[in-house]
Amino acid sequence: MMNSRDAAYVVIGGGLVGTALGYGLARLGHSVILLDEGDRALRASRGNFGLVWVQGKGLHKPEYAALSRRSADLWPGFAAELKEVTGIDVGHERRGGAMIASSEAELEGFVTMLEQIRSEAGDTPYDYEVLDHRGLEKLVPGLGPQIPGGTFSPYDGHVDPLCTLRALHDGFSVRHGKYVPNCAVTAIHPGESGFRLETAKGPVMADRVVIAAGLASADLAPMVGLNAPVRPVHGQLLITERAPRRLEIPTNIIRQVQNGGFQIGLSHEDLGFTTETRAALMRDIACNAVRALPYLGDLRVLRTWGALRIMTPDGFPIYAESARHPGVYVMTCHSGVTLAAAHALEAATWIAADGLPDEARPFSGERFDVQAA
Amino acid sequence: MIDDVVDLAIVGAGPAGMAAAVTACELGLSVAVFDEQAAPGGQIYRNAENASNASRSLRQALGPDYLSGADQIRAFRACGARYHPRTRVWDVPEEGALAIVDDNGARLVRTKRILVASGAMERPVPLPGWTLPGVMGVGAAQTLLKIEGLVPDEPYIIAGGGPLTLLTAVQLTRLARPPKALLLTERVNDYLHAVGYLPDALRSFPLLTKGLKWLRELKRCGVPVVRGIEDLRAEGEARVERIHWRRGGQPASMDTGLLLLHHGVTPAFELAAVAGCETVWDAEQAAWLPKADRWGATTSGGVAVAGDAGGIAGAAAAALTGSLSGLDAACALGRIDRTERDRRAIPLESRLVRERRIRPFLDALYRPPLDWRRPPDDDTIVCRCESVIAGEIRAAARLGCTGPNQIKSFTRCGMGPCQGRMCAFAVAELIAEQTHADPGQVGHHRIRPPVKPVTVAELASLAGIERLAGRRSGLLKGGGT
Amino acid sequence: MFKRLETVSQDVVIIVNGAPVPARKGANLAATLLENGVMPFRFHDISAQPRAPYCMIGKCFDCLILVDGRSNTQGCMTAVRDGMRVDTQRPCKDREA
Repeated sequence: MMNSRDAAYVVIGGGLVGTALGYGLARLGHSVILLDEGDRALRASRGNFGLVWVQGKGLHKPEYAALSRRSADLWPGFAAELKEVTGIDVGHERRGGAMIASSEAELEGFVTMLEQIRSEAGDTPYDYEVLDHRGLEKLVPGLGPQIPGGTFSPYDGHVDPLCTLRALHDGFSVRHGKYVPNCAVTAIHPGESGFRLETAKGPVMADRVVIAAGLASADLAPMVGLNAPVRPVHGQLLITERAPRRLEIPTNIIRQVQNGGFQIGLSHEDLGFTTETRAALMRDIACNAVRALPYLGDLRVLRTWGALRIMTPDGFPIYAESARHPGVYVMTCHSGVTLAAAHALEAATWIAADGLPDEARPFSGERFDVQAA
Repeated sequence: MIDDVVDLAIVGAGPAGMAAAVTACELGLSVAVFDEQAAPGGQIYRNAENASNASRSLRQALGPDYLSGADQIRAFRACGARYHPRTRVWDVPEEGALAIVDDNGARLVRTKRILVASGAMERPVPLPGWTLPGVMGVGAAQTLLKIEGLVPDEPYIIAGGGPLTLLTAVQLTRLARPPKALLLTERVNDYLHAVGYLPDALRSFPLLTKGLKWLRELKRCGVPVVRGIEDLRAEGEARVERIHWRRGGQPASMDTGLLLLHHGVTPAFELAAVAGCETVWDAEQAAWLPKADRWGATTSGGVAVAGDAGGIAGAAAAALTGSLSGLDAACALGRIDRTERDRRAIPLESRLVRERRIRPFLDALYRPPLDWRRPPDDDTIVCRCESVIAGEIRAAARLGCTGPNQIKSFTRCGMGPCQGRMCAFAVAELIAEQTHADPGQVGHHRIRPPVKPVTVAELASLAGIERLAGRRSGLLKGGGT
Repeated sequence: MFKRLETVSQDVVIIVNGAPVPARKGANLAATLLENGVMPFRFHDISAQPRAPYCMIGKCFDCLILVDGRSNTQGCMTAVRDGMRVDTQRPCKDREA
């Protein structure tokens, strides 16, 4: 089945990052094979919140703030393209988003952070609003009385992450990409003209390789002189039963998804998940939810959902090409949804070019000694 | 209120749960039984406690096996176990803990041993039109009879396979009216396939002759018994109005406003799954079971399974496996030693062997045919909750979704309130069909808590967390979601 | 669809789609509704197709109905109470928030 030079590009990883990059490369007309693991693999993409989020991103890293903003701006067109190519409506909405503060101190923290990001943005506009309780309640009706307020950014939006993954897969297929599931990659061997991968289904040859394998990237990257020091950071989500629409915009902790259920979660920074029991996690998430939106109390929880963030040490993406073996890249981030548009429409062109462009440099990972000795 | 650490927490008060409680209490264990129903008996003996109030004809139709349930319930109520009715157990958040919810809210219960005796449910049978009002499980009709003495007041049809189809047909015939037809999927092939198990089955002679007697009774009442049916479909607007099928290539149809379907029962293993128990596919039963040893001990520490939740074997076997798990719990907690446990087990296990003897024959004879497991018609609804049809699942499998979790991600199948109970089998079968695997290799979707409805407010006021050991939950073992 | 074999004392009244229906206190709600010909219980959230009880033991979640204003209540897991208001459930998008 696999013989000399199976494709121009092999992308390792069928999650949001890998599939978006694979779609982007196929869209440019290249032959692409997308290798994926099996059904029970640790799949970060299944646990994603679905935010297309700009607010609060990139503190002390204005290039990341700009990347998030760029991707969010690309998203509407991207969603339209996916609809046209696959017929799937990924449910993208961009009406802004809110951060709900559970305390005055938290609100102050939000404001300080946003102010800082704005000042780091220089001339580039960075709009947001600071809202008191009344102001926030206009956007988030039914807001709990104990909530002091929050912040609003017009750049934020949300999308159905599972639909997105589905549409990317479909689109990849439509653009003649080849998807191979149950095909874990065990080794990458640089060759004279290209790379040979050892996989569960035999050897695969390609001119260029993109490692977008989430946690598995940490093992694969060193094989080609790259370093991808990622670690898993767990989070919990609760999904409720369907309810009539009440929440029109996404927030940092709660959003009402397309089908009507509420998705409730908290960022890992707030809870220190790694030491809590499952029961305590669920209670805390539910507690915060009821505090923010009391009407959620009556809704039944259908399921808890484990979210897995693929975290680099500083939380920012790694987009790197091996210096020792040009043509192999590692691409990893924890915001696979927000950045999906940029990955498909921009980052794919970076990979297809001769060497990563300047825009990618801030994410090169030299900051972690990405190039192994 | 449960505040102490109980020795044995049992989930379910059917024959297995009740027997386990009685045995464990006899050996000095403190036992708590959590039951989502209002009274003990599970499904098989549902409302058996009140059966003495029923009329003679109803008692006769329900039969001595059912009525004997009242004795078991009496013994259970007297054994000293603390019985918590109308209580749902929705998670096993860590070893030695159960998450429960009742009218007082949600809380955690600490226990040394857990026994999952949550019984079974009827095998979902996705056929075209099966979601129409008026299409129900045969078990549903049984439940209506047992709890409210309700019988059909209009012509009805029973279709499928398995002993419960016959039993229900006979009961309803005696109490109300005969079915308009009894449509069975069984064919000569099934008998040939089952004949290998006949020698064992023949030793359960009384059971076999009972079946034949029932058939004769139905025939005497003029019930058309049609075997070898295929392509059964229901149609109607506001409810089922007419059904169609084929037999020997010939199409047939009949009007009906009530269609009772059945093709066996399958273990309700959700709680065992969230407790971390490994499940295995049993090819004979065509169902997933928790992997367990002769005592019901699963792969998850301190968690055992008994009764139909561990594998379908009927009420008598359920009581025996319940008692065995009670013995094992007592041994694990040092009340009796191994020799004593094994000695007491001998008569139970020999009776269990006899009870189980007929199973391979029944499993082989009544194996649901392929078109009842793998809906041939793409328009057949597979996920009732989210209205996902077979065609969508086939398409997703062809796109490369190799397992039920990905199917779920791509189609929403399994994301509704029933959390995959109704669609798990069909999804595994459809993926198996598209990938040329078998359902056991395909597996079932990852089961997550809560396995019973609990509200956000109930979760928010979850009590008893401080009593947990605080061990890391092992949440992401083997899969991120 | 279903009828009782034996008469029972109907000691309470429930309101079904606005109309009073005599019932037995503590009876199974889904059974009571079936006995009174209440069909369907709901119109599916996504397909708007009519649905009614299928399994009667709390596993299929098709017997969902509006009880005292609360949607998605499993009829087969609910006991009748005096004055209980029961209404056919409409698809989610047609319900009031």
